[in-house]
Amino acid sequence: MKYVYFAKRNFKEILRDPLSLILGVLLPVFFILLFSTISKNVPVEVFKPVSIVPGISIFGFTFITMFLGLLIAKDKSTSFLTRLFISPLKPKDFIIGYSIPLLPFSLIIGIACLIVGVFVGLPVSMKIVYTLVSFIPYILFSVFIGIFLGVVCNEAQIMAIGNIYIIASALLGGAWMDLNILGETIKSITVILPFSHAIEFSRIILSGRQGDIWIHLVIVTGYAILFFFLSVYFFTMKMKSDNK
Amino acid sequence: MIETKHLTKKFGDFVAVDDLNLSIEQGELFSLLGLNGAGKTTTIKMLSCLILPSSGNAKIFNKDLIKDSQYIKQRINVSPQETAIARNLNVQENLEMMAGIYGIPKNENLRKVQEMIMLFNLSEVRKKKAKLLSGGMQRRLSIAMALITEPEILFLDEPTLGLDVIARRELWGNIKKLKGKTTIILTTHYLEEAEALSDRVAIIQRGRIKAIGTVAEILIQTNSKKLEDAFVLLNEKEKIR
Repeated sequence: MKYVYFAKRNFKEILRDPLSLILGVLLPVFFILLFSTISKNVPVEVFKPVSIVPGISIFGFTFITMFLGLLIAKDKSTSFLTRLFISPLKPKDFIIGYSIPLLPFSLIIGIACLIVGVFVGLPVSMKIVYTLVSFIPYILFSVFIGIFLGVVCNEAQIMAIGNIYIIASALLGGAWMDLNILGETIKSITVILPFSHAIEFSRIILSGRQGDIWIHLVIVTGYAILFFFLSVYFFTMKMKSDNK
Repeated sequence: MIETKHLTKKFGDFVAVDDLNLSIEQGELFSLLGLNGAGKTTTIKMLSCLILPSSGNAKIFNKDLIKDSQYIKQRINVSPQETAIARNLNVQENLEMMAGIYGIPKNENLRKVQEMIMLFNLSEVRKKKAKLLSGGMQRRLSIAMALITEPEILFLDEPTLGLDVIARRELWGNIKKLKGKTTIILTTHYLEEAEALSDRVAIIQRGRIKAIGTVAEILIQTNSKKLEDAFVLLNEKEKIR
């Protein structure tokens, strides 16, 4: 249970960075309000609460990746991580310690988006709870890719890659646009990435409409598992790389 | 307590530590002195299980440095050259975290935090975020974080680097309080610091020990009056070669 103290520290580090709260919670909430307002004048399907709330929630989780990546990169650059490598913590303790604090934080983002969704017209039903649960595979993916980036990149690289990642997730996920307008070539790229699948999975759950949820679930979960193993591998390599 | 045999570390073709043979007794304060790149920090990194030796070995607590690293890690601690602290946590939280990571039970954890806060005069800043502390205070916190786990061996890698004279003297006072109880391996560029604190010193050049013993013994060996003279003499000899 040594990782609990490490996890507590990571939770506090993120919580005490006001930018985390602003970007993580307030920005998605603002976007939902913005697009809902626009939808009153531009009645397109993607701006309706049942579409925009899952889309923006998934977009909001991409900030989790940034927070975690930057935290790990900072820990590397300040030698804090080196100090902990000398401690009895094992690689699994690091992975758990970095992952756990982000889970409640992600759920806060999801809950905030869904509550605001109710205010802009989502009908109150159990589907809202199911939608919250449907976010979990993508939250896990966001956490593990954050660990992966934090271990592999330095702070400057994460800032650059993170910006590309956030824009890519928004554009290629179809959070606030119909992917059909992107054309066949780009649409074929979106199919192999997890963003649009995560959004579509939650949209099906929230709307209750018919759709092949399993393909979306399998792809997002597959990405989460892939990046779990990549983060474990690269973290272990990082601990060993200091042995060279 | 620490015994190294032909301990060597190479980074590619560069030999950072070359055939190091050392024996350090329990409770001893042993200083490693040398110019930049002499191999002091690499030695500490090897002895604290952070990097593996290229050849040779060491026994700590009579345990193998490589095979029994988990056993050794639980009983040692390090205050690194950089003040490696959690910047957004306050002083008390930093100490609690470090004690928790080493598996110290909660009730004992609180007692030890209080003990370290008193020992290092941190009570006035106990609720202050670490990033807002002065350089001297951050150093004190960094060493307190290493000591809270009650290590049998404490590695202090240039603990007074960048501190003003007053802060340095205060830290010397803290280190002196530990003498005899905790085995301390100290690296420093300040020779007067080594002179004031150490039971024995080793002067390292290019990864090799050039002189080892008490300060008095080294002065006799080099026919010098001050440790600084001995240090300069040994380094000049090396340059001439």
